[in-house]
Formats: sequence, C-alpha cells, structure tokens
Amino acid sequence: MVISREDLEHIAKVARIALTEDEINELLPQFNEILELLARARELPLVDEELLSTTDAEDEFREDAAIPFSDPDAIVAQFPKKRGRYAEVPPNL
Amino acid sequence: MPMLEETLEKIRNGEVLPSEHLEEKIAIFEEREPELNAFITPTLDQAREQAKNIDSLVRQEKGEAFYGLVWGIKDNFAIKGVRMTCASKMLENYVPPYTATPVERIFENNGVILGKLNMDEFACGSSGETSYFGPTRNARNPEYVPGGSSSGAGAAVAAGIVDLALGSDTGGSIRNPASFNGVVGLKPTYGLVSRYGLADLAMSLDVPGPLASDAYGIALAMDVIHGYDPRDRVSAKVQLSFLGSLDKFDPGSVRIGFSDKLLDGAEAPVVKTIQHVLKFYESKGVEVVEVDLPDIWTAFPAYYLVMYPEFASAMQKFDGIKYGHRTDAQTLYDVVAKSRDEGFGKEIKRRIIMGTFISMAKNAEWYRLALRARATIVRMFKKAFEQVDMILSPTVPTLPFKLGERINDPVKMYMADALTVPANLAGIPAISFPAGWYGDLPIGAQLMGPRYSDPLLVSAVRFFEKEGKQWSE
Repeated sequence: MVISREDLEHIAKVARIALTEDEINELLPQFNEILELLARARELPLVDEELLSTTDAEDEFREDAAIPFSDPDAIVAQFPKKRGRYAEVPPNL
Repeated sequence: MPMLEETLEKIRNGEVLPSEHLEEKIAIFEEREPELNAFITPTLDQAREQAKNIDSLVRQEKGEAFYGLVWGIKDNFAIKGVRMTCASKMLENYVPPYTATPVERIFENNGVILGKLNMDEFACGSSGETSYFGPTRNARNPEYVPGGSSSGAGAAVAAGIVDLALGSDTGGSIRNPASFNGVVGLKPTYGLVSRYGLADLAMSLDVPGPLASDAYGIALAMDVIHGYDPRDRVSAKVQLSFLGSLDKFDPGSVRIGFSDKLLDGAEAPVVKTIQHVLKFYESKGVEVVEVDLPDIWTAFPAYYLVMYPEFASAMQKFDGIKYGHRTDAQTLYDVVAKSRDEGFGKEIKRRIIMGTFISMAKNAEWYRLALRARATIVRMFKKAFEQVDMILSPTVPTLPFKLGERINDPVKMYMADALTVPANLAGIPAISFPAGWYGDLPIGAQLMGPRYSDPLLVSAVRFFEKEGKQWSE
C-alpha cells in the first residue's frame, strides 16, 4: 500500500477538501490501485531527460502596460458573498 | 443527414435562410434532447436573434465563413453573459464576464450558437457520466455512453442538432466522443488554437478543437478558430490552410506508419476496422510502413502522473470566495474546504487528491518519473515521424460501453484513454474519424502526425470519406 489512511487524511487537508468518512473508505483502495498501476512506469526504459511542456512559443515579455478590463462589475457580481464591492472572507484562524 | 457542404451551399445561394436552417436544427433539438441530455444551457432565443441578423448579411453576400451554420459549445468555454458550469455544482450559477477566443472567432464568422453542451465534470472523464447535470447518452444507441469528456459535443453533432461543436482535448476528450458517436474530431497541435477562456484541466496538455460530421466541417471550423492569440502564452504564431489543402491528399506521396503493438488488447471489431482502413490506404497507393513504437504504453502512466498535479493546481482557484459555490462556515479554512467538498464530484476529488499527493515535496520522485516518461514519448514520435507522415491506430481500443458499466471502476475507465493520451503528451495533432460499425455502435480510427501536420490529417480523412467505405459487421 502506497498511501495509508492517515496519509489520505493529511493530503485531503492540504488539498482543502473536507472528505467524509464514507468518501475516505471509498477513495483509499482506489488511490492505491491507481498508484500501483502508475508505479509500473518505474520499470520502463526511460530516457534521462525531464520534459515539462511541448510548446515552441519563446519566452518574451509583453509590454508592461495595464489593460483595463471591460466589465469589472460583472466580476463583482460573481462574488458568492459580498459587502458593497468587496468579497467577504471569514477570519483566517 | 445532408452533407455540411450541401447545407452551406443552399444557404449561400439563398435557397435556405440561416434562420430557416436554425429552425430545422431546433426541431431536431426538441425531438432528441429529452433523451440525449446533450445540452446544459440551450440559448435558443439568442440563437434566433443571431440567425436573423445573419439572414440580412447573407442577403448582402456578407455571411462568411459559417453563413449561420449552427454550433454547440462545450460548457468549459466562456461566453460573456451565458452561464458556464463546467458540468459542476461548483459553477452551477457562474456567469463569465468575458468570452473565450475561439468562441469570439465563431461569433465574428457568423456561426450561430445554439447553447452550451454537456460534458464530464471539469472535463474529467471518458464517458460523459460524471456531469453534475446528469449523463449524456450516445446518439447512435442511447443505452451506451457517448464517450467523454466532450460528451454533449459528440452526441449533438451525431444527432444532427448542431452542424459543428467546439470541444477541448486534454487526453482524448474530443477524439473519444467523436469515436463513440461516429463523427470526426480533431485534437489540434498544442498551441494551435487559443486556450483563452477555456477552463483549464492540465495546462501543458489542453487544446480546443472542433467536432463535425465530416472532414469538411473540421477544415471549415479550423480555418476560423486557429491562429495566434496574444492572450494565450503558448499560442503558436502559425497560420495553416485547412480548406485549401482539404482535397490535396496525394496517396502516392504519403507514408502511414503502423505497429501491431497499437492493437494490443483491442476488441475484435476494432482490430478488423483498423486493418480495413490500412488496406484501403494501401490499395490507393499509400506506403504502409511498420514503425517501432516500443514506448507507446509508457504514455498511460505518464499522462496520469502529469495531469493529476496540473489539475490539482488548476482547481485551487475554486475557494468559495471569488466565484462559484460557497458553503458558509466560521473560518476561512472551513469555507474553502467545505465549499470544495460540496461543490466537486467524486472524480474531481479523486484527481485533486492524487495531484496534491504527487505535488508534495517528498513525492517529487513520482513527478520526475512522469517528466522522463514524457520525454521518452516525445523522442519515440520524433523518431517515428522521420520514417512516416502519420500513424494509424484505434481511437479507443474497445467499443462504446453501456451507461454505468465502468463508472465505479476508475482504472478501467482510464484505460479507454490509452491510445489518445500519447498525442497530448507529445503536443502533436490527432484526428478520430468514423471507420467502422459493429451493429449500431461506431468505431473510430485515429491518425496522428507531427506538429502542424493538422491539415494533412484532415485531408487524409476526407480522402477516406470520398474513396473508401466504412467496415461493418
């Protein structure tokens, strides 16, 4: 087993997902099955190079200028809870 | 179903007005939609308004390129003012404040948008069953899944509700439903179509692309939606001509690569279909070359190890504060964690947690393994494309399966992607086209080519449509 129950609880906490008992019971064996399958990659003959992306876009700087967004009110309208034009955030304790 | 070219010709020469064409499509929508559930948010009123405007443009001979052809848009693309859910409870009431680049180009080119299409939640799935708004059904046989994640796109095109659909492909999400519904779907070269306004699944793999009933529709769509967009960091400064090369497939100058390895584990009707397609091309003068693809099955673990952490990262923006579902609680931590637990479905949580696990510093070995596997795949294709112009394979090794058959077995579900994920890892184009039928179940064949060979792939499919015959049993 790659992941223990305690591991899963910790990972869920880091991932900011409040899993229920039932969800943990269902997910735990699935994770281990998936990871064991993926672990097979270790046995494959892999090249000694790490590749992050396949883009051939070159690194370049855009002009450092602000482009005003056309409809900021539409963004504010999406806050699930707000006071005036501010999104409401509970205390971070 | 009338060919897209004929429909377009009738509108062009004034025989049918765009608004009349739209009403025909709406009639099919009314008939088929209750069973298929291909749409999350239909936009019939806006579509009628749009078609009316295009009527007058057509009269002034200004209706190009789409002349009011009817589109459906996968619900992970933003359209300003139209609800965009990503098929998730998390975004059940989200209304985006801007429009995705490919959608903007469709509007500008007189495509009428009939609505937002159903999909797997946040594009995570290969069966269309993980949608918060209920599963979509296969347009050819409603007991079967339509494939995913662009499930609504595949079903709506196959049912003739829309002429064209915009989907997205991270590991097969355009090609899989194209294959299962018997339509054509192109996953373009990475960077060829802008991702601006597409909700990301895995940034290094995602690419938007079209689904259509035939290769002509794909070419027509691609000419409009591809091209450089400064708002997408990986957008390619490349301009290709799809309609211009559609009928220029020259079998004498093309080499198709094939390996028996690609048929490992494939069901018999799928094997027969692929052999049939291979024989067809060979009989027309295409040189079929045996290629060595020793690492093709490396792609499967590599894909999941790359995708999970990118997905977990992409999903961090959903916190119950800025937009989307919010569960109220006393502390910030609880608001975020509870909003996410309530807002996300099972597969989403599974992937976020897997991605979080792989992203942890002590598990870096897993991610590095994936990056090496990815490099291995890229080199394998590079070598193969020194010998051939394209590679033929099944799109999915199996026939479409029944609803509910795999939904609780993630590993079996993931296996459906084994032959579609290599193209995403390598950033190369791949097209799925209807090549066979087993009873009423469609079988798709896939052609993969080197970067920017997209128009050649589309022309190869066109050639098969015109000169070939689908396999059936």
